[in-house]
Order: sequence, then C-alpha cells, then structure tokens
Amino acid sequence: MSEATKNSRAVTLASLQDVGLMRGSCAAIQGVSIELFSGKILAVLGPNGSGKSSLLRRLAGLESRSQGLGCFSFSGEAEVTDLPVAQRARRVAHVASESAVDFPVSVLDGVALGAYSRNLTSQEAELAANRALESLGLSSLAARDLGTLSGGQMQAVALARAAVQDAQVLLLDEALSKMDVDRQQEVAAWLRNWVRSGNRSVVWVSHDLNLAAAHADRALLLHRGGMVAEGEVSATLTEKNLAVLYPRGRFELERTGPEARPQIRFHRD
Amino acid sequence: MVKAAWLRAGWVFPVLLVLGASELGASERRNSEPHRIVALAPSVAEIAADLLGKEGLPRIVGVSNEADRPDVLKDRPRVGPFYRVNLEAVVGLKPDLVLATQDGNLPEQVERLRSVGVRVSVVGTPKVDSLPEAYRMLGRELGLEATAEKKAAALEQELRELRRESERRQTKAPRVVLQIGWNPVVVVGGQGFLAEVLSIAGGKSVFADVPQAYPRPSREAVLARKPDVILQVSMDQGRDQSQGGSEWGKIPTLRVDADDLLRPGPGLMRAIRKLQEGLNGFAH
Amino acid sequence: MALRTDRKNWLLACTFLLIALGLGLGVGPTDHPDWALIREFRLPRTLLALGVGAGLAVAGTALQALFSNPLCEPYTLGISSGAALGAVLLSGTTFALHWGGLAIPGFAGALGFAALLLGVSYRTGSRGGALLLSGVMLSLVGSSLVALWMAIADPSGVQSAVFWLMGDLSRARLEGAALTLVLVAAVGLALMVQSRKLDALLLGEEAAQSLGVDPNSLRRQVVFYVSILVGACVSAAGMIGFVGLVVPHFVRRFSGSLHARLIPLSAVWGALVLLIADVVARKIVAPSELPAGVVTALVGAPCFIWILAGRSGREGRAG
Repeated sequence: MSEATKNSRAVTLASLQDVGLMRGSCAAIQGVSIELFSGKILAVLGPNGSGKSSLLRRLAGLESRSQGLGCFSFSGEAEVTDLPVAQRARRVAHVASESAVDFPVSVLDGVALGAYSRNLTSQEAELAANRALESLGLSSLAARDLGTLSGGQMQAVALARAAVQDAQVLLLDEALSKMDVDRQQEVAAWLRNWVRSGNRSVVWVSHDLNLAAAHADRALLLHRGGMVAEGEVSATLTEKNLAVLYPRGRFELERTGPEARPQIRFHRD
Repeated sequence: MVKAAWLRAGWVFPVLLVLGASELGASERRNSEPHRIVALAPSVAEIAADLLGKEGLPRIVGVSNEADRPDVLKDRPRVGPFYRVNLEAVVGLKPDLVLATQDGNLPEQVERLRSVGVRVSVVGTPKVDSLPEAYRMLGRELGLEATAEKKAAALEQELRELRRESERRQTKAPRVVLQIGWNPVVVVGGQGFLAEVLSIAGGKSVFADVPQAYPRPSREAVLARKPDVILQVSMDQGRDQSQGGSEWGKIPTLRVDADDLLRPGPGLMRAIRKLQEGLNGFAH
Repeated sequence: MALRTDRKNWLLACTFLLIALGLGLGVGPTDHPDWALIREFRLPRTLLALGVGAGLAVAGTALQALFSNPLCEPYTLGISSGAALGAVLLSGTTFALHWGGLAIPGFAGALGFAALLLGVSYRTGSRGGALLLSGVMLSLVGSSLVALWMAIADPSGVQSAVFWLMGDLSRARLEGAALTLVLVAAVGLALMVQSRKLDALLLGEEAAQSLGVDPNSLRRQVVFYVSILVGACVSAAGMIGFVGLVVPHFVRRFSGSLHARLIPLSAVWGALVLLIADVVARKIVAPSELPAGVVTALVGAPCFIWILAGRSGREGRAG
C-alpha cells in the first residue's frame, strides 16, 4: 500500500501550523506543522529536552496563550487555546504521566469525573466509567481508592478517564511508561482499537521507540525543539533519522510484518 | 377536635417567647429593696456586704469567683470570673439587682444583662475619693441610704485624717516602689488608683513621673531609681513566700496584703493605714 | 449500594446532631432553666454553634479542594485572622462586638487574605508546605495587628478581644445566630452547585482544566464564597480553628470526596462537632467558661499533625 492511498482514506481532524511554545525568551519548541488524522495514532519521539512535552502542553492549552506560537485548530474552528475551557475539553484531552490525588476517591468516581464536559447525568457518567474500566480490564479496581493504586494502574485509570471524556484528540504524555511490559502491549492495542472506533486521533509522547513503532500509525521526530521528520512510522523511523535524534549510538532496524513496522536495536559505540 | 388542638399548639410557641421575655424583665419593676443581689466583682460584693450587715447578707445570692469576704459569701453560688462572668448563671439566679464595676467587668456583658431586662448598677471607683460616693450610690440602690451616708461620712473622715498625717510627714517621705507583678516586674506608675493610694499613705513613688498606670520597668531601672523601700503587693501567698525579699538585694521590702489594697471596698482604709504605718519606719 | 450507604451516613449524622442539640440546650450553669433562660442564652448559643460549625466545615472543604491540599482550612491559612483583622480595623475605633457591624468588614478582611494566599499559591504551588507556612505567617500578622489595634483603640477592649480571638460563642444573640445559619446555608448551597467542578479540582488544577473546568474562574468563586463564610463566622464567634480541617477529613473517610455528598455531610458534622465542643467549653471549668476555640484547638491541632505526618510519610515513600 502506498502512502498516498493511505492518506486519501484518512480524514484530517486538526492541523498544526508552525506551532511552538516559548519558555521565557527561548522557544522550547517551534515550527511544527503537521496534520492530525482521524483514526490515527501519532507517536512523538525524541530525546530528553527535544520539546515533546512542551508541544503536548501547548496543544492541550495548559500553557498561557501569550507563550504559544503558531496555530492549532480543528477544521473550520479558531485556535484551540482560544476556545472556552469547556469546549476545548470536547476537542482535546490530556493525560499526564503522573497524577496524584490527596483525597479518598474511588476509581469509579475518579473515572466518572471524565464526563465533566459532557452533558451526562451522574448515572450515565457512572455507566460510561464502568464501560471504560471494563474495556481496559480494570473492572476489579472500580471500588478501590485511587491512592492505593500502583503507578501503572494509575496510568490505566487515567486513560479510562480520558476515554470517558471522549475528546476528539487524546494527548498522551508518557501515559504508558509505568506499566508492565505485557500490560503496555495490551493497553496500546486498546488504544489502537479505541482510536479507530470513532472520529478520534491520538498524539502519543513516548520514550519507548519499539512500543511506538509497534503501535503508532505515524511518527513525529523532534530534536532540540524542532521537527526532524513526520510521516508513516515505517517511513519515518529510519537509521538516518534516528541517528540525528540520538547521535551517540548506532541503530539496527529490522522490518517485519505486512506494514514493515521497524524493530529497533540500539548499540552503543 | 384534633385540628383545634393543633391550632392551639400553633400559637403556644410565640406566646412562650413573649412570656419568656417578660419574665426576664419582671425584676425591672420591683425597683426598691432588692432581695436577690448578684455581685459581679469582689469589691462590690464587699461594699454591699458592709452595707447590708449580718442580717442583710442573705440578700446576696450570687458572687463572682473571686469574692471571699466576708466568709459567708464563700458559700454563695459562683457566676464565673469577674472579667468574664457566665451570663446564664447570673440570670439563672433570678437577680433583682446585679452589681458590677466600671473597670473590672466587661461593658458588653453589663449591656447584655440590661438587654434581657436585668437591673444592673455599675460602680465606678476611678479615684480613692470615689469610694464614699460608691457607698452612697449602692445605699440608694439597696434602700439603705442612712447606713450608707453614715459609712460614707466615716470613710471621708478617715481619708482626711490619713491625708493630714501624710502631709505632716511629707518632708521625710520615703522613696517607694509599689510592686504588683513579679514576672515581669510590674510597678505602680504616676497615674491611677494605686498611685493615689500610695500618695495618701505618704509614699513618694520613684515612678511618679511615668505617665502609665502600671509600667513594666526592668530590674535595673528599678534599682537605678534608688528607692528606700519596695512595697510588694502579694497576690498569691504561696508563691511570694518562696521568692522572699532578697531579690532586690540591700533594698528592704515590705509585704502588703493584696486583697485589701486592690479592692476599692471597706478594707481599703485599713490597708492605707497599714501602709502608712509601715512606711513610717522608712522615713528620712 | 451508594444510596444505601448515603442513607446510613445521613441517619448517623442526624442522630448525633439530635444528641448534640439535646446537650446544647440542656447543659448550662442553671439546673432547671426556664424557657426564658433557654431562649435568651442557650438557644442562640446553640444555633450559633450550628451555623459557625457548619460554615467553617464547608469553608474548609472548599479550601481543601481549591488548593488540592487536605491541610487547608480558614484558620491554618490565616483567612480567619484576616476576617478578625478586617472586623476590628474597619469597625471603627470602638470595638463594638455586634454581628451586623462586623460581618461586612470581616468579609472584606477574609477576602483580602484569601486573595493574597491565592496569589502566593500561584508562585509556590499549593500542594506542598509552602502555602501552609504562608498561611501561618498571615495568621500571625493578622493576630498581631488585631492585638496592636486593640491596645491602641481601647485598652479595656483587650480583655474582650482575647476571648474573641480564641473563639467565643457566649455572646450569641438570636438574630445574629439565625442570620449566620441562613447565610451559611445559602453559601453552602451555592458551593454545592459547583460540586462537580470542585470534584474535578481534586485531580489537580491541570487535570481539571483538561476536563473542561476553568480553574481560575472557579478559584475566584470559591475564594469569594469562603470569604463570606469566614467573615460571617469570625465576626459572630471569633477565631475557631480546626473544625474546618478535622471535619471534612473525617467525613471523607466514609462519604468519599465527591462534593455533592461531602459538603452537606460536612456541614452537619461541623455543626454538631462545634456544638459539642462548646458544651465541653461551658462545662469543663464551670461556672467559668473556656472559649470554644480552645477546645477545638486542643482536639484539632494534634489531628493536623497526624494528617501532616501521614502525608509526609506517603510522599517520602513515593519519592
């Protein structure tokens, strides 16, 4: 399958034009111009300090408007950051790598909070929360207190909450990083299923190249606050590009399966 | 029938409210010759007891925690400390006259008692000379004008004698510190009731130039003013004895009973006279 | 399931409330009080304890959600102190302890201090100890200024102020108590309308924002409401601490942290806890009385340390 035919099937959900974020007088990230496609997972990859999280926070509207560069908008709409908060929550959901709750809240209640921006009754919200927990295999945790969960469980619960929020674009910041390896595969598969079942898109910041390579549809490579490459995973994750990102190593790529997804091995020189 | 009962019950509540209010106010009307007296400070309790005499003492039905003289008052119901009496306890005694002091009791508490219809007389003794006046005023309140006039006149006479005696000795008057607090040291300054007491007793306060009533000088400042004698008003018997007089080195100290001196009541003249006699020994 | 637990919680709260009411109206220095005495002293005092207790507990609940910090409450954050300062400074030179005259300046003072604290929280973050320390400092500044003003304005008012600053329900009047109750109920309802937003805030400010809550507008509203509550409570009964800390903490243990449930239950428990504390204060050294704030502090301060120790322990293990 050529890239062109794939893209023709994908519908553009939102677009980034020259997007960036200032930190003080320096740009933490700038010049990112890409499109977010419906039903696709976009992996954002790059070394520490390359601007991955800054980009995500810029998209989520968590940074002050005056620091933001460029324009992130859904088709026919204004810049997302300028939308009213409640409306923005229908467009983008943000899942941080860590969350702490200092108060006793049950997992079910915590997940049901995701329905805030949807006009649901509390019964409907609870139903949606139960469904999300079930789809992630977390039903047994429903009555537990959020404070008693492990880091990985907490991340899965945060994903369930995002599923209840049901925004068009899901922004994940290392949201699977603390899970067990087998659990990561399960949740990533859930994510693929979830993103395809509706008019949704995922932007997934990750450190785990292989996990991203195995489950993402597209990849955005960042280096020192700038865009190195963006496109289909198989086309973007190349030895040459990876060498730009991580200059102190050597990569060996093995392509497998019908989609020619790369498996990456890293050697230290 | 049932409905009628409910209707009746419906207006019982407001009527109770009105009745309640009027009952509290009932004492207002029985103006003269009060028979249920509550004293909110020890000084007024003592003056009232002095005026009422032995036969009249049962008319005092409640006192503040500190009142301990005459002895019979020790058995009376207590209504809390004078600086913050328990208003419900006061009103619960159903007094027809409450005696309060201007300086000791909280004005807002007096006001509150009045607002629920309790008759309150406030006695002010800003000066030693106000004491006979206080007697006369309480005499009027208690319906004992004649007794009060006799006692007030006697007090005035005694004050005149004390003053005359002190004036006679004025050239030889000792330089005095009247100490009323220990940690920190609190002394009597140039103003207020105790400063006046000291001057009537013939003592020359070394802190007379200080405009405050009760300054807190350092120990060094006390010694620097070179007093002839330090008068110590003992508030707490037990503690003072353990401290002894040696704390002021070579300066002699003289112990004075606090209750008599600090309560503007019947014991005050006795206290001043004792003070005068005591100071006599330190005259130049 | 949730409904049945709810019913049980409410049954328990109401039972205790009735017991507390019985104590509040039944305990006093007079053994066989007539109705007039009860109407004039015990009823206003009981109603005021209910109103102030509920108000402080609701204020504590809201502040804890606002700052995502379970150690927050009007007293430890110095907002009570601000209300006291406002009440004293703006009530003029005569220290007139009448509810109506003090409530509005009390509100102004509480609002000032709460806004200051909100500003501090933007810089220090709200979850750690920095906010609490700032609150303690604000509290000290407020109390000292109150003491200074008292000493300047009216030396004889100092004694009165001492009790007021320690939290004192003995000067309750029927009208003031009723007004406090009504105000607390109204603000409590207004906060309950915001309960889903407050719930979202439990996850942290950014998470709440991501869920669609505008945290800045919510914070402004909560600060406004809390200031009304604290202004009313402090001007009526002085500075009573720790009710706002202990009660929400305790109620959360069985009701969870969702505010639609937490706010009304906290209000009821706050009301009955302060009422019982006041009964103890009335009785323990009778016929003298302790300020109710002394009793709540004796119980509440150790609880504060206990919660703080538990939190630090968890943070230590996590880090």
